[in-house]
Amino acid sequence: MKEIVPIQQKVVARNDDLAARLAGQFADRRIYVFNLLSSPGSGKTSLLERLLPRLSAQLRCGVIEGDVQTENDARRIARVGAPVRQIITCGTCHLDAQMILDHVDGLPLNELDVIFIENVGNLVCPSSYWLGEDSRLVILSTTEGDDKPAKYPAVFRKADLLVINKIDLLPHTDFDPDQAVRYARGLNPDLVVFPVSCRTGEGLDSLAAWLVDKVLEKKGSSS
Amino acid sequence: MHEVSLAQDILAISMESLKNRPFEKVVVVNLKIGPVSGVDPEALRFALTVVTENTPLAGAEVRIETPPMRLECRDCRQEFAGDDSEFSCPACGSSRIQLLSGDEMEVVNLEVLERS
Repeated sequence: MKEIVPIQQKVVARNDDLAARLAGQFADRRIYVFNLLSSPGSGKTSLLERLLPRLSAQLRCGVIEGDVQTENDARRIARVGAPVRQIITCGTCHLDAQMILDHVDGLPLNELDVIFIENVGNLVCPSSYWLGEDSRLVILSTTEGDDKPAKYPAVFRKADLLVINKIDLLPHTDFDPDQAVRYARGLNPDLVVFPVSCRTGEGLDSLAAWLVDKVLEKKGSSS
Repeated sequence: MHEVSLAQDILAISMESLKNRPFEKVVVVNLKIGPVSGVDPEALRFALTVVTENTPLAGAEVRIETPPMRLECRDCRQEFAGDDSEFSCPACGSSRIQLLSGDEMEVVNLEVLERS
């Protein structure tokens, strides 16, 4: 006799459960969490290197770095003075909630207002895995195609913030920022966009101000 | 290529639902994978054959249902079928579009042979 075992469960249900647990821990401690996603080389680590000094007067920041190999990024973040933990995924193309649970206690959680999780450079897989974050920040750089949002819709659809990096290089590329934003907002009309250059510093102060507002909003509403 | 991780999740969910249930063998694994879920169905099938080796799911047929992608215009509420190259509403031209379905990744059920 053949029998049906009903399941009707999301494939990533276990990850979602663990992520909800993380979100609860972050809420209890009033820590705001950003999940940073982009393709390799768009400037996730550079953005953190430039942002952290701009945030440190108002916010106590911690960082979790995700990479397939090496602790290079954690070393770069440590040099700007922020507490950091490195997750090495040994081949896995995304971070998941279990990895965050395994490493988050290595950060001084009672002394933090915000955690930036730098995901593995990849525009596909990380989008399926909630890490308990409050917001997703996607970085797109002007040396990539301006049709990236059209090619990798899931990651842009689930993002809250789009940072267009390397705008100092615009005169040397065919990247059309308006076109990129048009594609991205077509998928996600509420997307907030900040064009920046990590090299020249352009746009970083307004981005930092926006991040501070977001974090303080959460702290205020949960106090 | 997160299909191996997803295959491991599918195996874990299936084993959990088979707990305390006497059965002979799992014949079919029914999945629902949306066209914009970011999952490559063929890579997922391959990953499943690898991760289910030496488990009760080994050799089971994997059936993947692909629900259609449905979009809705946030301005005029027109519903339409779409693909990801569609960035405006066919009725009013608005580009404020939201996804109604198409990004599913779900284990629907297992078909098992009962122990006789």
